[in-house]
Amino acid sequence: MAFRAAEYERFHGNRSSLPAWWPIFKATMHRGWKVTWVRRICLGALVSAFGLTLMFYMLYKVIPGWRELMQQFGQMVDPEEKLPFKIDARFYAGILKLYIYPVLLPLSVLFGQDLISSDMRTRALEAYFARPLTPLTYLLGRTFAFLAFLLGATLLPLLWVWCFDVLTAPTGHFELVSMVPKGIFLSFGGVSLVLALLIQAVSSISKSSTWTSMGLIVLFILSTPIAHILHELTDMAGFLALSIPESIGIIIYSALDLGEKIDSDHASPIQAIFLFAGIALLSLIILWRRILRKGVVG
Amino acid sequence: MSQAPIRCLGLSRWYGEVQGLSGLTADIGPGIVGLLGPNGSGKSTLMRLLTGQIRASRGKIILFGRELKPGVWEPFSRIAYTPGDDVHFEDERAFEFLELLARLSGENAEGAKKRAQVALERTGMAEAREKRLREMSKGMRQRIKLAQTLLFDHEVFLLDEPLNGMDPISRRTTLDLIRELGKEGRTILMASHVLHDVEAITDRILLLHHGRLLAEGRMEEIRALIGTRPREVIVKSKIPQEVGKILLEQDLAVGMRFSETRLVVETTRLEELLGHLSNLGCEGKIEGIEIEDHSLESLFELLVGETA
Amino acid sequence: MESCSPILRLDSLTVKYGSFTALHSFSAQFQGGALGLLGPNGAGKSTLLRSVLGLVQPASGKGMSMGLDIEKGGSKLRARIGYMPEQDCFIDGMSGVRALAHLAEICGFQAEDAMLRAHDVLHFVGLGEERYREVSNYSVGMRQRYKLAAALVHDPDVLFLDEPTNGLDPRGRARMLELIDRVRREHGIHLILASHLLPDVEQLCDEVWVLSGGVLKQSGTIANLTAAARGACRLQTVTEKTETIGNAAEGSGIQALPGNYAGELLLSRLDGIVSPLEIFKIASECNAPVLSLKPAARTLEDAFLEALEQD
Repeated sequence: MAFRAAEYERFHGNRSSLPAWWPIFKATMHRGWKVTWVRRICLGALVSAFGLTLMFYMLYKVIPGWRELMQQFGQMVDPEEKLPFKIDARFYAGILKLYIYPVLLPLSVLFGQDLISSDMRTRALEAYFARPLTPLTYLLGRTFAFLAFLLGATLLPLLWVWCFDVLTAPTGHFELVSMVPKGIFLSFGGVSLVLALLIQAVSSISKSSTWTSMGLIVLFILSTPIAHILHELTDMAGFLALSIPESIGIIIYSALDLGEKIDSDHASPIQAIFLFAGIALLSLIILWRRILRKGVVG
Repeated sequence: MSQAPIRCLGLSRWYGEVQGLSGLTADIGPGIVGLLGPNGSGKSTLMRLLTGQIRASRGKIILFGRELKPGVWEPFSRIAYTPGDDVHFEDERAFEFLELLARLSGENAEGAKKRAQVALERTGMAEAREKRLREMSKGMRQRIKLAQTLLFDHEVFLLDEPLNGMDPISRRTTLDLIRELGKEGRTILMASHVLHDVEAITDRILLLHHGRLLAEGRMEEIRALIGTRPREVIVKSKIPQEVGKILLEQDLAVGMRFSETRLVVETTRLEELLGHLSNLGCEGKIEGIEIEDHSLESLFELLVGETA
Repeated sequence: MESCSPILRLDSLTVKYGSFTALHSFSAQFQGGALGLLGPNGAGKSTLLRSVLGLVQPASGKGMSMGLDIEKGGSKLRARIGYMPEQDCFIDGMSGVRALAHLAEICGFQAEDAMLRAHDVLHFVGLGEERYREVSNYSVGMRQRYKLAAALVHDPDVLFLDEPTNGLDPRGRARMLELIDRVRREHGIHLILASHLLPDVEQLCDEVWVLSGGVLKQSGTIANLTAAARGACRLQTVTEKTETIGNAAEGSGIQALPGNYAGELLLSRLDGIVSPLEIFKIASECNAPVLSLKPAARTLEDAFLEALEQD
């Protein structure tokens, strides 16, 4: 026969003892990084954090007492402290929101819109589960990578800003912002986890990246008017928690120990947490059922 | 005028710069012809040209003595075709689907029902008449596609991979059906990748490769045409030495190997050798004949391998 | 790695999808070598393979593979099985090598070993040139070879192949069969092959199980199943003469049935034997050339259809 293939060889080397979710984690990270807009947004997030600290540094070099000056100026033009002229927890709450809307949300949609749906379309699940990989480890690997990506693009730059702020600040400033690392970790971590589960669940149902993104955007935009309409009808502040942006804001505030600033016109932190926990749990149930059905019995 | 219902003269087709079919000249039918070729060799292009789905870039097709031109529809009503792709009707039940197709071809309601029923029975799908197409296995859908060709009394059948996905039982019944159609004097052009299936129903093939006609005709004739190398014939006999001697005297063998109960003859004149062996058989001197490498698979490999 | 325990032993294994019973109290044993699973659509061939892999949970019964329980063996068992599913299945957005290395890592290979093996295996199946291309852009034939490579990349002890030659052209099919056969003969990897194409099974396997409706209908070695029927002959002549010879044979009390090829006849007598001399005489009377005349072994197809007819 004209055709001669290269030789097959049996493998006699050692097998590693790494957990099975690790390759999934690596492959997921790799896949996310291949999306151009994911790279751009991540880069943008890092560069803007770096730019902010650079600005701090230059101000500090030119006017050593710039913090006090700005605070005084703020008291003059904005006595009700609506604008962040003082670098304290509220300032960080502002940047947190800045990082959640233009960074975290688009990033999570771009990263997650086709993660599980493409595995279902191409029947990769069958290839996976015929190997030493259980549905649970598969889901763990995917979700870990998703989280690591989101936190890397948000938590890291913010921590860098905080470190820089603390290092260049006068004495006494540290007490003002000491709860910030915990706060950003809790809010980013919480929001990312919920988003990761929600997006994967939606994509496992829609099986297409376009429908997933559309669905999520509609869900996000519609949640606020619906929450407000229900609030108007029943006059119960609890319904406001249904608005996703509102709940994100509340989570951020309570994570940064600004709970007393939330007035009765808003939902309570417990209600916001309840909403997020509910979304996460529902997503998890959907995901689990879809994966089992598609992968195991098909 | 020629007998062949399908005649292709210098038929060529390009897709942009990709060559689909190039300079095919062949008469097809009547009888069963196996359309063979590796992937991308132009089989589907030929099928689509013959059914008028695409038009030839060069050359012409003559169907039942009429040249295919824009506006000539009559020959198509005498052709039945099963595409190689899966059927795309999903929600119809088998019977409804066939009835609908019969109605679309201009049959009245009564007749359409009758025809659909007959077609289902002929393909052994009568029991599944109320089943929806999307609930069917691949093999059943294939049979529905075949049933669709049997609705009317067509003279020419173009079957693109009709056996794909069928289990051995439906494969056998379908092959029987095709064989029967061939016996009724119809022209059947069947494209298939599984050479055993082609071999089972016909010894006439049309082999395409890289869009060109590589071989056409009876397997044995093609073999004889390209056969410069000696063929081996295994002869079973109780007296191999004596048989060998006779064959050598007739100058029919270029080489021989013996064992206790058989003899392997290398020959360049296969037909004469076989004739002579027949005579020896009538004298009771030999008990069996077998030609080495006689399968379509070996012929295919020989032809396609040579030009690759 | 070699063990004496059978590759597959099933004890009244029952698998259900909802109310549909795919395998019905199935018991059989396969010691090793190459096993072919035959049966019509929906006979339970794929279900059998999938239940050993733990992709479907048996409703009752027990199964052992290579000394491991199929329900509890889990990851350990699956690491030793290479599964080539019937449908396409690949990982989106990955090149051939990367996907294979990824799959090998899941089976516990270190990253470097995995990459090395991915390259080697792709060369072996003849995808060396295409290994950096994305799998989603592969043609049908390439995807089949990719699936074989994926089944082999973690060096399994058993290969489960579900319709491995589906959609391949004749050369692709011959190559695929050759690759599978080499893996089996040269490296002692056991095979379990489910296929509709009896010639494939005949070429690769020594043993077959015939399944129908989730029940084992027949099992045995191919050699036994296709043992020659006594005193029957297969005659091949040119197609036009087949009918003439058939009629002439019937005239002298010989039963003539169409064989597997065009121009082939299966000649037998209900009681007694058919002698070659007779047939040569009939053929020469009909003026038909004898292209081939040999004792009629039962084909695997005959054995298969016969097994299904027993009820």
